[in-house]
Amino acid sequence: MSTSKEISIIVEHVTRVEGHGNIVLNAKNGEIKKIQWQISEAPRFFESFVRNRPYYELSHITSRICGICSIGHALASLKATENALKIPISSQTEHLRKLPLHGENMQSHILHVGYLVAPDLYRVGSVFPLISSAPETVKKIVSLHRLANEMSDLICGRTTHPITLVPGGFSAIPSKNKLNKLKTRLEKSLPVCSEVANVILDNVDKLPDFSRETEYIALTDKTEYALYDGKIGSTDTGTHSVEDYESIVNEFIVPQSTAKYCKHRRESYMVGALARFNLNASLLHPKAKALAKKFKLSPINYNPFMNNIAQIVEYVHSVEDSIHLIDMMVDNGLNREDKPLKIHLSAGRGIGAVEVPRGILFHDYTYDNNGLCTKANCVIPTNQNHNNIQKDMEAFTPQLLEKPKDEIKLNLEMLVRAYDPCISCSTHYLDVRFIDE
Amino acid sequence: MNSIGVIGIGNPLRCDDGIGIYLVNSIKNIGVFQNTSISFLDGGTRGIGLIHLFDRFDKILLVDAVEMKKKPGSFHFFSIDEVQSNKKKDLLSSHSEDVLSIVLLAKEIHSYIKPIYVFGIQPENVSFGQEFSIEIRKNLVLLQEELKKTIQRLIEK
Repeated sequence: MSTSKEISIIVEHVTRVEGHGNIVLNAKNGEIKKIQWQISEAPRFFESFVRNRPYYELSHITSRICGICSIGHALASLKATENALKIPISSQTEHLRKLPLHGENMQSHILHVGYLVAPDLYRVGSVFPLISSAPETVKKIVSLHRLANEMSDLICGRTTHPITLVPGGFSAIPSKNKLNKLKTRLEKSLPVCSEVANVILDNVDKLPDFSRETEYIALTDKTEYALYDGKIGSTDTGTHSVEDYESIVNEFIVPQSTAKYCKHRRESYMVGALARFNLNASLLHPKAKALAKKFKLSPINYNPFMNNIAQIVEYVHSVEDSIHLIDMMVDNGLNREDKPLKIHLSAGRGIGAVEVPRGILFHDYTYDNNGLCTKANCVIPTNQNHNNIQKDMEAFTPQLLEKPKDEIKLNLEMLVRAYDPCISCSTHYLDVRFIDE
Repeated sequence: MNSIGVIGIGNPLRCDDGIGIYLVNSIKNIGVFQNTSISFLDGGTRGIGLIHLFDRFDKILLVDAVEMKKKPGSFHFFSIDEVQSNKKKDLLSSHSEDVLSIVLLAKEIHSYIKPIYVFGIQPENVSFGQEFSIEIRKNLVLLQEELKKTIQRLIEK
């Protein structure tokens, strides 16, 4: 049945997301005239101002791209530098780097689901009403968030903009005693995770039932649920080398967005927790797998709203894997003298890819013989998701037109929030050439 | 002895918005409060992450640029309970920050209400940049001295 009403919705600055994005919907007589996800954030020019900076500065500069994913940016940056300059790392360094990446995933996911998405499930405007209606749950969310932050503090020197991550390894390594204390806290947090998950489970029916067949892209590995390392995986085309990332992301410009769009096999693709789950669910740790089953989440799930459920599943996986990593490092004998080797400079290009909370992140650097950066390119996960948000909106909106205006608005905002976008991080510098008229 | 957390808040890349962090670091570096129960912290733009700092101390002093409609470069010491935010608290996000909303959230979560005070500095310019405005620069020494006195009074309180 088509509706005769005229619908005009403009949401300026969608709330409870990072950065600024607008939703515009014009519809009349059941026909959508315009549905747009608009990005108006300014580019931030990181790829320009890292030029001529020495290799040891780049991870510290680029970690400032984001305050939430600063560890992920630092690690993608270090991997790109290490690949370009052929800097080896020890297996201990590789294992130790995975811990703060887990910590970052945990703090971002619990913050997003607990503070930003949960209000939608309870149909309130913010987390404040939840404090009086569900105070114990909010306290548990705060405690899980704190644990994740302090985990990153321990390994990286601080939660935001890590200090101890350097080319070739770490400038300081925590003691076995501190790692064991962290492990105890992680073990104690598992029942708390479960309690919070149960609260979300009680309200999961509030998530819209919407599906659109989509390509999912994430790091993938044969031996573990990939966050730190792996090949590029696609649900459509299998695995690809990280060096081929440009042929995967295919960035292009659209008038409604200062952030670029991406596409691969289809018109758009999705990255993030749901993409990782769809590609790698079989490699989750047991409790995370059990939680996914409880939520009836199984691959391949095409509902973007389930991205937030995948985030809760990943939180539990990160806790389990962190416990496993600590056990492994302590059993192997933690070497606190494991310092980076002397670096021999030579020109080269390297690409680093890691999974950050919102999806696959690429850093691509070129250096000269003096170790100065001559070129850089960073492709951010939210950048890769903008096109898919647009396509999801185009497919989802027709189902909403019969609803009251406020409900249409809420559903479209929830769709954006489902992606957990980090918008100001995603507007990286545009490289244009003016065509003479 | 009660522990006191002196937390600088703000963004050093937005001109006068960085004054809180600058003052806290300068007092810390002078070392006059060494071997006391005072901790000096850079709260930066942590947003919701600030909640985790609030229950570490018996008293909190936030040092931040505050729009008070006063003469730029002037300061005012007040309890957090004396003010209301002009910002919408529904706009809570992982990056945006209304400190008063975060304090409110912390108080409601922790139920035990710790004394939280603010040493607020009236900014003139909070656009992008790394330099303080002239009025802030003129008053830097005075602001440092007044902050030191404020901390001393909190110790004695």
